Amino acid sequence: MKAEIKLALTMGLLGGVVVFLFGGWSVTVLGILIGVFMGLSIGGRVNKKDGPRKLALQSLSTAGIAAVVFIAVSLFQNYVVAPAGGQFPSELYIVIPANLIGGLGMILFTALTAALHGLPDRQERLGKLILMVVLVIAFPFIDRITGLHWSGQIIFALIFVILGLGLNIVVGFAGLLDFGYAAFFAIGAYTTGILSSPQHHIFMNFWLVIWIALAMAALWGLILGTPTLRLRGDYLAIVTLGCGEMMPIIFRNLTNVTIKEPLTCWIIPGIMRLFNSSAATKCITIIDNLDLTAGEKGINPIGRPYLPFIGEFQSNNPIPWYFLIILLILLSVFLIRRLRDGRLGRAWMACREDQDAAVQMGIDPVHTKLTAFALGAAFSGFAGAFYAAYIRGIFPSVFEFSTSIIVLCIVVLGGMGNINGVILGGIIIMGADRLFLPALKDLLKGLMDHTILPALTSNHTLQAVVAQNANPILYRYLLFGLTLVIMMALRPEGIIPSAQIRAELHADEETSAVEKAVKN
Amino acid sequence: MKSFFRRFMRPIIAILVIYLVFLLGPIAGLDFPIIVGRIQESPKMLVQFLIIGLANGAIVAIIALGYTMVYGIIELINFAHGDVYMIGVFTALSTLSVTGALTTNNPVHLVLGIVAALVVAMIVCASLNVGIERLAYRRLRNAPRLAALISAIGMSFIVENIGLIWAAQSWLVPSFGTTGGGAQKSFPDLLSKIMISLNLDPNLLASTGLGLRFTIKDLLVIVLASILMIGLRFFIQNTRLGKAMRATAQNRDAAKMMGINIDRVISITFLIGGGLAGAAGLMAGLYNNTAWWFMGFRAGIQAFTAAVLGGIGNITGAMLGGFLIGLLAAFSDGYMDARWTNLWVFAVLVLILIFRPTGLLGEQVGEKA
Amino acid sequence: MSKRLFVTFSVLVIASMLLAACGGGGGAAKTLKIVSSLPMTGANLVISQAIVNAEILRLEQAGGTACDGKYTVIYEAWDDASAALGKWDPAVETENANKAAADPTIIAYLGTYNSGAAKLSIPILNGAGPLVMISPANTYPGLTHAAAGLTDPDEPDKYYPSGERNYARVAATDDYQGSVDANLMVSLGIKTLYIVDDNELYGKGVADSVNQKAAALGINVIAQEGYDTKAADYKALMTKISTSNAGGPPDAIFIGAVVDNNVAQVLKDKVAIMGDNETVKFIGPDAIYTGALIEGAGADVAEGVYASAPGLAFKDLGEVGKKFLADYTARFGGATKEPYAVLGFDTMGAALKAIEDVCAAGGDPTNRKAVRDAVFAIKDYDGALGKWSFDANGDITLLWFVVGKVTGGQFVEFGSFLP
Repeated sequence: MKAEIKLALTMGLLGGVVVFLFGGWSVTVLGILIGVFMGLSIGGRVNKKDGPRKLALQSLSTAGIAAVVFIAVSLFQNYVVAPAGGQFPSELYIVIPANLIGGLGMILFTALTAALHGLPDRQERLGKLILMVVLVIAFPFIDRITGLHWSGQIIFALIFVILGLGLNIVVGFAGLLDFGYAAFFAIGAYTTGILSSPQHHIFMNFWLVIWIALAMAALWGLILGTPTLRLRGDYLAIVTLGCGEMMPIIFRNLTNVTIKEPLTCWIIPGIMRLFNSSAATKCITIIDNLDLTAGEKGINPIGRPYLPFIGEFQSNNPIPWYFLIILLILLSVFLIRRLRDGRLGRAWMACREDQDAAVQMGIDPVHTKLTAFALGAAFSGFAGAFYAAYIRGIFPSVFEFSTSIIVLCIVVLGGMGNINGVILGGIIIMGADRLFLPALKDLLKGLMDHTILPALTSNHTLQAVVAQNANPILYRYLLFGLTLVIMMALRPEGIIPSAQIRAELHADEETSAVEKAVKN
Repeated sequence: MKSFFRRFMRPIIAILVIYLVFLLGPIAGLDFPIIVGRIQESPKMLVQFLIIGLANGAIVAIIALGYTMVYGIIELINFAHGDVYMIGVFTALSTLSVTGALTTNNPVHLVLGIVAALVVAMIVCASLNVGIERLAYRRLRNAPRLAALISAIGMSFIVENIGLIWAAQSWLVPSFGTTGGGAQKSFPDLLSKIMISLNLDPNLLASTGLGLRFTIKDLLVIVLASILMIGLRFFIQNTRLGKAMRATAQNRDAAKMMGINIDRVISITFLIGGGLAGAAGLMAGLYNNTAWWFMGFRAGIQAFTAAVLGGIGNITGAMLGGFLIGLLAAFSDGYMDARWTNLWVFAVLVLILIFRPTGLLGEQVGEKA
Repeated sequence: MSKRLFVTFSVLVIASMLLAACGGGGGAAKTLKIVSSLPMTGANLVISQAIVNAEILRLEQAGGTACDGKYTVIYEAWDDASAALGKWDPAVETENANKAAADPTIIAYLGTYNSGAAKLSIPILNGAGPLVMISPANTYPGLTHAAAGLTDPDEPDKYYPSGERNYARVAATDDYQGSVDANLMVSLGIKTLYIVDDNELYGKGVADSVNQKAAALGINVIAQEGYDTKAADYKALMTKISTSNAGGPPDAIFIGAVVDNNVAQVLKDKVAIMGDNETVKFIGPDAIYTGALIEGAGADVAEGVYASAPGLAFKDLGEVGKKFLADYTARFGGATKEPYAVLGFDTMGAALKAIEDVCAAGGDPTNRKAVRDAVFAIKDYDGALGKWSFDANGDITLLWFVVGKVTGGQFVEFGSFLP
């Protein structure tokens, strides 16, 4: 019982924190999400024999406590925090339905999800699947009705989830550290940009371009991987970093490409001059002043996907984009699962664990690593194509080192080698970066300007100093850095670890984990 | 037939590669006729670019020393090192601002201010570097290399963010101004100021009439870098502590059995590396006259490239690599195309790692990963 | 039990939905929202903050309401920069535009600062009503009109998929600025010129324009070259330039760049290699006409730098403009030296005037199309810049530029110029 109260309080407060930042209708969306999550966590500890009905009833008390805490925080936000931050509290006609639906939704979904645990295994799995599908499908519509406008940020987070899934093949499955993953993202995006924009007056269909982007990224994965993959671990990391840094420079500067055939243009004339001959060869110019990538100006506008009935995807309607990226993620997860569980996946992991042993077993390490590198790159081609079409313009500065590190953060936080972990990591990191930090910044700024600062001091200089430093956006790099350092120090296997990686990382502590992993 | 191929394969590939460089190089500025033309046009400029390259390379070299020492001992790329150097620049600038050296015209006050800035920057950076080792690396010493490397990247981000926040504290350091943490901060040219206040020309070659520039700043960074390198080499070769460091580098377990306190030796390595980064910070500030929160990343990569180029773990090699990278950058800026300079630096990094991972002066290191 | 619970729940949900639907219709219509999207990061912050302040001031002077108090007007200053890039971020700008498009209470979008950002948001807002966009600062000509040799052949039409214009700006464009700068150089007696640019849409655009116009006036343009905006120093580049004019330095260097792109460092190394800004002049466009440049380079190094910016010199401003400066000082506790403040003031002024015009004509100011039409119909508006109109392209008819010179640690106005 005690554990349940703890769970209820944690969940109620956790949801409350989010509502604290966004206010308004967010309480409804959060209520339902937290409900599902809570139901899942309760389900882990119950006696299956109790049956769905009893389980649902059992969970009601927990859900009730959580809902009360949750609504209390929400009301506190609306009537205390928002006015203190200089905002008007939401009107009653929003507050009452939002909180009611949120609170009741939380209880209902907790009960529902908990009840699923009481079903036989197959039905339980089916029920959970249906629940997830319904939630994922309903999300953008709820988002639109409630006017939260989270879809845009979520789409962005999902782009990074695909990137994370791709990098996970390289880092998680094959154990190769890649610090330049954004390079492949860039290649995917630029392939799309060049093949479907007025830049070169090529307007290929998005549904075709996305596959070309994927192939291009994979091809470049092979090209960059072939000479580098025989290097040892940390050298490989640095080489990928170097390649990752070169890529934006190249895209930035390929604005006036001129290629002249050297033999005819200067080598032969130079030799002629040495012999004082006045005969001149004709200089062959292969490409003259071609603006390949448009540099910092960026390629714009890039073509967008078109579907019958829906028409061309528009930027002010996120719903088709949302479903497209969900589809891409499903496809990626499907493919990656197949790869992981197949012969190739086992070869990757064998190489990661012990390369020498793997070679003894007849695995070709270079070939194995190379496929991991190329396939990992391929998925970022997906992400790049989608990004280019969604943003409609691409600029080289987007693909710099920090992007690579954010993707690495996602993989490390979620759990190297674990697909679900990477998805969770992506949503956490990008959610924090795109939704929470900006919202927290606005909240803090409002609070600072209207309540805290006037109460704190009347000294204007000091006020300015405090206000300036109380901007969470300023600490963004710090948070990424801390994520990496803390995860490495305390839980290198990530939030949802893969059994093998955990065993590997804790090799000196617990040999039993290895045995467990082997048994699994 | 087969032997024919074996005999001519290499030359044919070599010719193909050279042809490709001739064909595609001009896109990134490597256009030999233009370069040769420019050098012929003004051979004097070659000397001038040499000076610029050596002076810039000197700063890179000092940062590279820190990389190479740490790598030599624990085989870890201390990614945060470049950012520690950036903190050095900000510490020096803040110290100068607080001591009033930025606004004075009195040469004695200026010199004292610079000395104080040097001491403070070295102490701050040394402690920071030791702290980083303690917090982020020590417990990962036996973990897979991947883990330590990720931790190092994380630490680099943290230190960068500290710089970003520091640069915004204009109430503490008035010279930071109103532009916030993201903007470049001015680091006044104090060395020239000292010379001018002593009625001397900052350009040491002005009296020769050659039209070349070799300022007091150039002289100082090159001399200081050389002294630091020689001192460090002496320290590592000839002192007890240096011997302990070398022993630790060779075989940690054996060194431990010989009664060497490994943790202490590693801490001292980071201490020295940090101190050097602090000194480099002050020098870079005085030389390039800018403090910027992001400068550490670029400098760090260049320095790391230098360390790899010279042979990582090798003190002289780091120095040599630093000068070479400085020269490469200066020649690329001057004779090729400034937009592509960084590409060439990275290209050197990648090519060296692929084709000669041991660097110019390095010895063969076995696969330990 | 659970059945009853379900019934109760459904009833409550339906009831509250009804409540929401009723309430939603009544309250929201009274509020009009105007947003701005500017980079609030780095060295650009100084300029952006001045624009935002001026916009706040203009709205406060209107009492925060429109149409005799029938509508409350709310202003929000959005940031289109991200900490990751340290400057405007395409993803953030797109998101801002999408957010604005989706919020029906928003009837004007004041932005952007960077012309590259406008390229992304114009088409998005074009499909949303169209929602009118008024920029205080974009100077790239291709957004509104074609300029020979400076814009792409399919510009500006490619930004307006609906065929209807929704973008106006109070800043005169680079093709005019190029002429002003070229004229300035002739009057300064400059014979040879070296141009460097940051490769960006704005920086390279203005540099191209100067290149074109200066050459037409007989100035010898030695070369135009892009520079690496993140390099630690430019000594080698400057050394190269110092011998580019038949072994000696050129008379002047023009830099086409935003101040964020390391302009202070370029200036420092230029002074270190080629001497002060009287010997070899250093001239730049509006994006370096800011105190941030002087702070970054140091007052002694920046001494003598010339910069031009759209608008009038403060001393040449009319009555409204002079009053604005005084009000600004009173409201924000310090005078502004940023020419963009005046443009920001007129940006908000144009938006508010359009709303009033719609009301006066008996229209509905919550209708985006009506507001767009009113903005494009603005004629002889009495703003801080003087009397001006928007032409059919959305360009301001007032082509004045102010030229400033750094003297004693700040930009001192040199005068107002017409192209």
